[in-house]
Amino acid sequence: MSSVEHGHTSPTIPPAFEGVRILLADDNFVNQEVVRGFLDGTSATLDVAKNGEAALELFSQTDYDLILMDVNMPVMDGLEATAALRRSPRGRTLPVVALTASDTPEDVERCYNVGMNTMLIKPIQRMQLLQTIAKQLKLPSKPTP
Amino acid sequence: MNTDSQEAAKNAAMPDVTPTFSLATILQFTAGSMESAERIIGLIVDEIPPLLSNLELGHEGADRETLERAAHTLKTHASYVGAEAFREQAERTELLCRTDNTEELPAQVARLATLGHATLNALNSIDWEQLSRDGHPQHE
Repeated sequence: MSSVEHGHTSPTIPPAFEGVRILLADDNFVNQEVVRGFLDGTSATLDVAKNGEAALELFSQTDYDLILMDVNMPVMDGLEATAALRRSPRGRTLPVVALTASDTPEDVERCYNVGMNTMLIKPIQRMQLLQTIAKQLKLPSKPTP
Repeated sequence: MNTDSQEAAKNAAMPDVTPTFSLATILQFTAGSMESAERIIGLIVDEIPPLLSNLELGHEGADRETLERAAHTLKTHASYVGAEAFREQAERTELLCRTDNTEELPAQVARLATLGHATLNALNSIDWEQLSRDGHPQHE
């Protein structure tokens, strides 16, 4: 089982994420803008879906390295979308990072029960996001000199 | 807002409700960029009114899902701008929805709406030109 990531991070140089393709599923324009800003300056490519159903549609057309999945979305929430991903051969091992503003034990359990790899509690910080992506993709994060 | 809600709003009168926010907080999310902060606060200012409408509609129509979703999103928005009283109230309201606490909800929804309007007014009053000239956040 993975951990719930809160705000604390150790100082590191942000990874470059060359060739990394990330899908963000989040209905909240503000969250979309913040995550986009966090990834500015890296080489990652970011696609955005406004709910779980749209995320599954994009996933069926594109090879992603990682999905950032909001939990509470209209139409199809992140739990249902992740469960569907895990049932597909391509989605079985894809890293899925939950983005949620709720970290009660029940919320945490629900996320891990559907197969999410780790959780970030909103509002997330830039280095926290970059380090979590690097960790999930097994990319090195270099300590700040 | 119906009569019950108006009464609840009076009861939730707010000597302790201050429409504060923190530009320093939003700047944490924009790597110090005032331009990005202005863009994100602009999005938040655009989104708060429909969310407050949903809050009211959800409450009046006893639509707990709409109410909970509006409170949830307002909580996130409040976090980004460091509006702590607003965030706490949104969290409280979301929790009351989840636990189906109909007794406390009217007063708490009214208080959340009041805080939302106050925060919206405060965010709308930011003088971005002056901040750009001064180079420092003026609200804390």
